[in-house]
Amino acid sequence: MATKKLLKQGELPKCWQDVKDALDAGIDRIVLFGTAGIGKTYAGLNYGNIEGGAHRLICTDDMTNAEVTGCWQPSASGSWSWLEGAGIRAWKGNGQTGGRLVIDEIDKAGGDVFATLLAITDTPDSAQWEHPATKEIIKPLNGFTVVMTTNIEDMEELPMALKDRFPVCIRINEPHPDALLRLSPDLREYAKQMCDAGERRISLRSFMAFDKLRSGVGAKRSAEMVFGKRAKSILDAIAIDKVKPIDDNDGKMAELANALAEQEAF
Amino acid sequence: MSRQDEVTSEKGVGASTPTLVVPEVEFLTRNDIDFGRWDIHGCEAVAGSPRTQVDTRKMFAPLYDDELSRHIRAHEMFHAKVSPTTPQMEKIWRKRGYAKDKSLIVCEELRVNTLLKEAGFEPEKYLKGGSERFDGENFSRHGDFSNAVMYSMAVRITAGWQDYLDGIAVHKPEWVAPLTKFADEASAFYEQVIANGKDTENRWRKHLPLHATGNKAQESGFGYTESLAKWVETIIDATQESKPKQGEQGGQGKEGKEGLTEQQLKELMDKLGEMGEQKREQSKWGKGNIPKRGVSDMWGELRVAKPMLDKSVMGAIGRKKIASQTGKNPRRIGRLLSDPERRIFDRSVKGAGGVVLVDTSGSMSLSEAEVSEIVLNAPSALVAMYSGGAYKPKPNLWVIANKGRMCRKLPRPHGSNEVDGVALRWAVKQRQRNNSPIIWVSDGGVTGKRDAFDTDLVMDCIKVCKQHGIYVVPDPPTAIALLKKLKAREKVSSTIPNCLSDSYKEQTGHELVLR
Repeated sequence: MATKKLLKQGELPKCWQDVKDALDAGIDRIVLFGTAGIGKTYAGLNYGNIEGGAHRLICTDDMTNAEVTGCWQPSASGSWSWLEGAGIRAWKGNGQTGGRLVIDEIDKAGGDVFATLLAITDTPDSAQWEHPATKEIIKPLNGFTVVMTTNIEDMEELPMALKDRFPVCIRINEPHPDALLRLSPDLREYAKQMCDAGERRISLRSFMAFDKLRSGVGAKRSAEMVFGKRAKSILDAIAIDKVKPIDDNDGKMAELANALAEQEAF
Repeated sequence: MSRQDEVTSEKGVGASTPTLVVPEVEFLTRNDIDFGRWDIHGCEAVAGSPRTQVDTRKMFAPLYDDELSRHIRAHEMFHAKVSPTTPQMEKIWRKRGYAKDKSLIVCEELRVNTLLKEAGFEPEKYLKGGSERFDGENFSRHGDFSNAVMYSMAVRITAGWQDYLDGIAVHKPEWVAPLTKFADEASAFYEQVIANGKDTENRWRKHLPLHATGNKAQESGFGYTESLAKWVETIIDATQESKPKQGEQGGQGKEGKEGLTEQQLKELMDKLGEMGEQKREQSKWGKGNIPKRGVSDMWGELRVAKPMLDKSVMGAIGRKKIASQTGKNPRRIGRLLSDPERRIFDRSVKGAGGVVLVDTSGSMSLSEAEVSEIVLNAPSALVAMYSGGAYKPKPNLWVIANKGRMCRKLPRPHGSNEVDGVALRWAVKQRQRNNSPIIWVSDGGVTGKRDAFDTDLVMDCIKVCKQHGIYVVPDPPTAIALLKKLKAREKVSSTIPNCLSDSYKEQTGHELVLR
């Protein structure tokens, strides 16, 4: 089964392999799109060369440029100091190589933030920013990369200018294998399948909550708490897939199996 | 109901939106195909409406929040989880030729309901189609025992079982016990398969789970369905064929003309118990596992040769002329005086023709003279001999006589069988008319590729012989005697070789009856 494949060392599902290969090959502008909660941000923060550090920016309607480029902040002595935003910090990286800027939910950014982000994510030759205090011209250091994530399914919905800057767009339709490993083995395949189930999608986070809860309150009650009206139907589906009745001790057994597996690995 | 009552009831009922429960099919996993999003459509909770298309990922199931709908949804979900897809059915199962679609479908229903029970559902309490009683009554009214057995498989582990038996009991109360026994034996077979998987003491013996899925026949739990369907079909056929003819001693039961006699039903009950236990035992010890190949794949490739037929043989099985009252030329003018009906003209009558298929494998030890003798006694029939064991492109079936001509020197056979079943099917295609007799001269020691023996091959040959009314004779003297009787238009019957009758009895518990 697919889960078994995922667990093999070094083997990744196709979408994640594409992400890894693109970042390893030095592609510095990537859009990862797909349903929420399947590890797009995780990949942005951890994959490829992140020697220069990784900086995260979550876009909302109300955000300002302060989070992108920076802002003045009063200090205890009564003076003001400049606090750099995630965009500039990523440009500077570790001082020698540029860092990684991970922009989440780009489609939710307002007009002026969007314009600033366009400037920040421009090609290194055109991109520059003037420090308001020192008047220093700051440019992105070599190695600066951008990973943008969004939940929109159709990339045509993104503005042309943004699409132009991000030639590589990868649809993520499976949760990240490392994230799946945090679930009990008996739930991994379901989590993987339900992440891309359209309207009936169930996020990885819901499965994690269910997994954690069931070891304490039993499978039936935890399903009701996490899945609500769908609980009974979901438990029926699990019973059918396993060809055995749902047992309230499943969670405890899974926990035990996990502990044994960890012990063996050790 | 008064107007006042009507109004009250209208007020009380009102209209509300029912709670709909969508089956979570996306949760299901299989080893042979990857699932994605499913199209779920609501339908009525009655037999015939719910269905599942695994390959196109479409499911039609009732969406109400009650136990009946929940069990129907679960039943359909089990089909999605374990039943073969349409391409698998076409490419793997139908081609194997072990069982017909109808029996495969009902046995699959039983497998799905067995698994449903195993997963903690209660199909015996809640799953119902609604038409069980009507169907039972209908089968019993028409004396359709074989369909009654088939349907009993589908409804055995459902809440409609008792209704079905009640329906049967309306016209044929004596069928209730054998139908129950049949369905129970079938159900026990699947339960045995499940028990084998749970057998912790014999972990070293690998048992394929009942719910297994795979792209190869031996990896799929549907193989158990096939195995059961084959068993059910064989026993039904054997029971139906063992019906004593009218006026015979065995026919003195209640039924006589149609259906089965009490004595036959009693025999069936005994045999069912014995055969069912045998089948379960085989499965327990790993025997009778799902065969890798279908029967059609087990036979060797048939390569037909037509040597020159340079010798003439004339006889009466072919075309001949008889006296007639009308015609053009009065060739029998003498009959004007001798025949009261004055049949002085000729009329051509086509002979019945016929096909004689001679097994010339080593076990038959036939001499050239014996084969020639058969040919000479079957003039105008098509005579062919077959024997496998040679590599391609050497032929393994030779047409040695046809339309009154035969070949002067007979070909040299190779020694093995390998192609009995395909040769029989070929012979059926060669017959001149639907009523042309086919005679198979063989000791019944049939083998497949690489001269390997298999009971399924024997059963396949028996199936062809039964289906097309082939006469079977074990040796040349019996064949010649039968041909002479046919020539004289006397009544003839098969002399069944021991190999065939023993294998058949072992498989069905009944004596083999052939034309």
